[in-house]
Amino acid sequence: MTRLAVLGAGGFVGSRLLELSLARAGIEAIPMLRQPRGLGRLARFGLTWRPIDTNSIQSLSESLDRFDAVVNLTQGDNERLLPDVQNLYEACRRAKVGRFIHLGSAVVFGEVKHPNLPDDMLASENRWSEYARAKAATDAWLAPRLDTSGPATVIFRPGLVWGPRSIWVTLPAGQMMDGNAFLFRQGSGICNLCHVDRLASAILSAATRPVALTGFFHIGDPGVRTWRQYYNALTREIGSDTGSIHQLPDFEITWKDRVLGMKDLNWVRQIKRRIRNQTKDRIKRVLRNTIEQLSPPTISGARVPAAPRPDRLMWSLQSVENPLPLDRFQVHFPEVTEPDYETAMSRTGSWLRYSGFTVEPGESG
Amino acid sequence: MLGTAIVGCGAIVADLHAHPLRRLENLGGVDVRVLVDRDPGRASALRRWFPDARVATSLTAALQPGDIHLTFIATPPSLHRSLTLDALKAGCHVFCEKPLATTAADARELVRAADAADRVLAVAHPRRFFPNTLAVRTLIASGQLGEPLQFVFREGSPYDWSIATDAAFRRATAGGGVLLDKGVHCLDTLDSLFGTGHVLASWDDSLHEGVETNSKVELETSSGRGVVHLSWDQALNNGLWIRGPKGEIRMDTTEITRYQQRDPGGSWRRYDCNESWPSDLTPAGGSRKTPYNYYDCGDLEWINLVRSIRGLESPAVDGIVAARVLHQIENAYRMAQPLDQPWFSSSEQAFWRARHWHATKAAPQNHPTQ
Repeated sequence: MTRLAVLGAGGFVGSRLLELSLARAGIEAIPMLRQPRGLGRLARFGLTWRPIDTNSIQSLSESLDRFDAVVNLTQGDNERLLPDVQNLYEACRRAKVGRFIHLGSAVVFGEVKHPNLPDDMLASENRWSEYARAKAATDAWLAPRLDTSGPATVIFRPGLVWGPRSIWVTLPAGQMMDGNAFLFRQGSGICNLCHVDRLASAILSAATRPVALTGFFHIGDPGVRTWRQYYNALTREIGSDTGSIHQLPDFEITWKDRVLGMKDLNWVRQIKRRIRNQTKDRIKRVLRNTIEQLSPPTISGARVPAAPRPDRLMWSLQSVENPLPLDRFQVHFPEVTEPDYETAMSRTGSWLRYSGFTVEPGESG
Repeated sequence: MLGTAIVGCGAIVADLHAHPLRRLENLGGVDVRVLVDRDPGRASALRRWFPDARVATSLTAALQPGDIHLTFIATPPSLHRSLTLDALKAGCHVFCEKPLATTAADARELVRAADAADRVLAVAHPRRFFPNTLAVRTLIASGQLGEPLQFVFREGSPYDWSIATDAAFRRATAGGGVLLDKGVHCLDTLDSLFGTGHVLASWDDSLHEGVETNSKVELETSSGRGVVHLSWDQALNNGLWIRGPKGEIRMDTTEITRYQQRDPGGSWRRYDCNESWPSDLTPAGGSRKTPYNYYDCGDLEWINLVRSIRGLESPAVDGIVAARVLHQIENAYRMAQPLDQPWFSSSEQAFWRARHWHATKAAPQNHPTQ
C-alpha cells in the first residue's frame, strides 16, 4: 500500500487524482488542505483529511511523517509558489518521504517558439505572466536538487489540463453558447492539451512504480492539434455552429488590458487579500457604475450583444507555435496511455451536455 | 432596541451579517449584546465589530432575563433545532441561517414552538430580495409566458465559502451536501415563483461516508415542471431558464438586477429591474433601496426582520415556507438514485454506483483500474 499525501487535493486536478486513487487498489491517498473549504469538491467521499501549514517546515514535516510520496498540486498566490515548494521539499527531506511529485506547467515556455524543447530545459523568467514567472522560478529551484539525496523528484509540465470540470472546457463552451467564442489567426496556433486523467494516472504511476524516477517530464495528449480543431470538436459536442466563432486577426494590448492586468500583480493581490469581501463588492459596484456612466447607456429591452472579449492570456495560449515533445514521457511512462483523444473528447462532450452546455437545434449563438 | 445574541461566530457572520447588524445598531433597531460560540476565540474575534458585546460559550449561559430579545443562529445546521427551541423558550425572536433544520419534521416543530411563544421565526434567504426574482415572479403571474411552464435551475461552482471547520461536509453536522446548501436557495426561489412543488425524482453522487457534491432534482408545481441541478465541484451553465409556450426567461443569479427574455424563436433581450424594499425602520413612507448585490440583499433582509418583529411587515421567509422547502429536500434525499455519470469509463461508473449511499447491497471490492 502506497501512502500518498496530496497537497492541493481540493483543486481540479487534485480532486480527480483523489477520485482515481480511491477507485484503484494499493493506494491510500490523503488530502492535505490549507483550509476546510478545499473539501467541498471531495465531499461525496467523506474522506479523512489533514490540515497543513505550508509556511512552516516543522509543521509540514510532522504532517508528512510516514508518507511514501507527496504530490504538490497547490496553486495559491503566485508569490507563494516558490516558498511553498521550498518548504515542502525540505519537509519531505526531513520526514524521509521517498518521492516528491510536483506539478509544473508548460506555461513557462510561453508561446513555445522552439520545436523539440528538451524536457529539462529551464525557461526564461521574463514572461509577462506572473504565474509563468513564479512557475519558472520554482523549476529553477528544483532542478539542481534532482540529483541530490533528497526525495526522488518528478516535475510534470502539462499544457492545458482539460476534461470534465476543466475551465479550458467550460470557458470556450460557455462562450460558444453565448456567441462570444473567438479564435486568433483562424485558430492556427497549437493547442497543447493534457487530459486530466492522463495527468492523474501519470502522477499515480510516479508515486507507485517499483523504481523511483527523477526529472522533468512534458506531458500531454498524443498527436498535434490546433486551436481550431479543438474548438471545432467542442462545437460538435455541444451542438453549436463553428460559423459563430469570431475570427480575430491579432491582439493589441490596450490601456484597459494593462489596467485589468494589474489585478494579477503581487502588490495588488496583497492589498486585495486585506480587503473584506463586502468592501471588495462595493468597490466593484462603484467601478461598474463609473464604467456604465462613461459608456453609452444600455436600453432595457435591448438585444443582448454577442461580442468576444479577447484577453492577453487567450492570445498567448492561442499563439503557441509548437507541440510539446512527449518522447521522454512516452519512454518512461509507457503504461499511461488512456484516454485516447477521441474517447476523451466524447466523454467531455457528455459531461458538457450534462452540465447544461448544449445548444438546442436552430438555436446557435 | 432589540437586545441581540449571535450564536455561532464562524466566517459567515463576519462576512455577511456583521455589517448589516452594525447598520441596524446605528438605526436603533438592535443592540448586539452577546456573542456565543463553543470556541471563545472565535466569539472574541467578532468583538472587532461589536466591542461592547460579552462572550459566552453556550446560549443558555448567555440568555439573561429581559436582556436578549432576538437570537441569530449561525451554527452548523445540526444545532439549529435545539438552539432555536432554547431561544424561543426564553422568549426570543429567532433569525436562523438556512437551512432552518435538517429535517422537515424538526422545522415544523420549530414553527409550532414559535407560534406557541408568539415570537417571529425567520430564516435567512437573501435571494428573496433579488430584484430580478421579484420582476420575473410578476411576469409569470401576468401570464406573459403562457402555461405550462418548464424550468431548469443550474447552480454549480467549486465550493468557495470561508468556513472554520469541515462541519458543512459531514452528514451528521450538516444534514446533507450541496442540495441542502445551494438547493435550499434554489428551491425557495422556485417556491416563490411557482408555488409549492413536489419532487418527482432525484439523483446524487454521495457515497456511504460522504454528502453529495452533485445533485439533480426533478420537480413539479401547479404551474410548471423542471429540474434543479447543483454542484459543489464544477461550473455548470448556471442560471434559471423558464420556458412557456409564449416566451422564455433567463436569469443569472450573479446579475441580480437583470433578466433576459425572448419570444419563441426570437433573440434574447435584456431587461433591467429596479424593484425596491424598505431600507430603514420608518413605519411608513421611509426610504427604499434596490439591491445590487448579495450584501445589499443581506442588509434589506435584516431590515425586513426587525420590521417584522415590530409588526410592520412579514418576514420574507418564515418557518412555514422553510419547512415546505425542507420537505422537498427530504423527499429528494429519500428518493435519491445514483447520478448517471457517462463521462467516466463504464467500469468507473459501476464502481461509484455500487458505493452510492442508497446502495442496498454490500459494495463489491473490485477496483475498475486494477
